[in-house]
Parts: sequence; structure tokens; C-alpha cells
Amino acid sequence: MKSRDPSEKVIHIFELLAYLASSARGLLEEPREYGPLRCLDAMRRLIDVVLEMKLVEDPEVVKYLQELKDRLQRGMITLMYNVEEFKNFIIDLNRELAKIAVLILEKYYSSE
Amino acid sequence: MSVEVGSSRFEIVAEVVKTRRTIREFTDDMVPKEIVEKILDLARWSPSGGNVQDWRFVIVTDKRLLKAIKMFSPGWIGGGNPIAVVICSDRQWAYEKAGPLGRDRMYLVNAGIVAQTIALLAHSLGLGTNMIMSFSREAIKQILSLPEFWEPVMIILVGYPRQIPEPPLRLPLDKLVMWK
Repeated sequence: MKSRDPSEKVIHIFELLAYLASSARGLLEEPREYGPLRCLDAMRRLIDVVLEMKLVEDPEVVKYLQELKDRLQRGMITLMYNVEEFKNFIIDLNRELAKIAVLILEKYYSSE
Repeated sequence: MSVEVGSSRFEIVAEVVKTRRTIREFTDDMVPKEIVEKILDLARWSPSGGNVQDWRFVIVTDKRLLKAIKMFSPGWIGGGNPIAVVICSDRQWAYEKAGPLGRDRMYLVNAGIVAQTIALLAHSLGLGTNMIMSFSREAIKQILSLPEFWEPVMIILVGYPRQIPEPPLRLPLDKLVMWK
């Protein structure tokens, strides 16, 4: 994904929609572990869209998303090799994202 | 008839079987048409239940169609420029040749057999393959305008490997075999 012209944006959106629709279709029949796998891949793809469309400008957040995308790619593959490692990756990811979410809320969300 | 485990033919086949990997990252080079044709011409010598040969191959090299297929194939993870061989079964043909068994069960087995032949032939030529079954059958059928009775069973990506992954664990033989 390189260009940011409007036609590319349309393609990015439909790539994501098609991915989610075809994942839902597949998960009607696929193994149970594929559900979490598809969710992780959807995160990775969403980050791709966000970064390509420059929807986030905060350099710290951009850096985090770039790193997260790489880790998601690696984490997904662990399912093929070690299911326990795959599960732990998801659990750790939730802990990590909870910490990040709190920081993001502190920075961007007004409670007033 | 003697069985020569140490023969050069056995060693060659064993090496090809054991070193094949699922390749997810390909280079940008596209596999030439004549190589794909050669592989499929040999793969049609694979066995099939009742010699039904219900497999049909749709070779996709058009970049726009590849993009559309990838959009509806969650199992297509990775990058590069592979071509796609969509293994279909003509299930009406399978029914005419082998009845309900052919139409409802054999076609899956046959697709698996020919897919492995394709994967091994490709690997022996230095190519990589990825056998994908996670895709929307309805979407792929629509995108490729497949004939009514052709069912897409598997998509095999064929390309030049950019990364060759470590072998995943294999179950030990004693977990798989029962001698009687």
C-alpha cells in the first residue's frame, strides 16, 4: 500500500470489508483457533489502513502502531508452531493494550 | 521386487518431501507461464478416486483478479507476487463418474492429492507454494466467473520464495501409526 490518492483509499476500505466478510464466512466452518487469528489479522490490516491514510498524526502513536503491526504479524504465525505461545501472545497483548488505552485516554479524552 | 530405500530416486523424493515448506513471503518475480504449464501437465498424472480426474485448474496471473482473490481469502497472509492456481472440482463430472461418493467426498481428497503433487513439483524447481483453504468460495466463484458446477476447493499460490520458514513441529510416527 503506497499511494494515498482517493482511489487507493477506496480500495483499502474495501480490502478491509472483504477481509472481514470472508473471515465471517470462513469462520462458519473453520477451526476454533482461526477466530482469534482473524481478529489479530484484522488489527494488523486496520493499522495498515490507518497508517497509509495518515489517520493518526501523533508520532508516538504512529511509532507504536508500526511496532504493533510487526509484532502482530509475528504473533499470528505462532499459531502454526505453538498454540500455547499463541494464546499467551493474545493475553499479553490485551494487558499491553489496556495500559496503552489508559495513556491514550489520559492524553486525548476529556472527562469534563 | 526389492525396495531400495537408499536408492538415489528415493533420496531425491525424500529430500523434496521433507524440505517443502509453506511459503508466505514471495519475491516480486512472477513464475513464467511455461513453468506453470509444465507443473500442471505433470500433476494431472496424480491418482484420483475411481480415476475421476474431476480437478480443474484456473491459473490466475492477472493482477487485478489476484488482488480481488486476495481480498476474499483470509488465509492469504504475506506479500510478493505469486500467481494463484485455483483448484476446482467439476462436481457434476464427479457425480457422473463416481456417483454421490465422487460428488460429496472424493472431490476433496482428489484436490488434496493433486495439490500435494503441485507443491512438490514446484518445490523441486525452486518455487514456493502456499495451499490456501480459507477463502470465500462464493466470492471466488463470482470473481472468476466459474462454470456452475465447478467448486473452488483450494487456492495454491506459486512463486519464488523470499523467506523460507523453519519447519513446524511434526507429530512423532508412533502417534500416527498403529500396526496390526
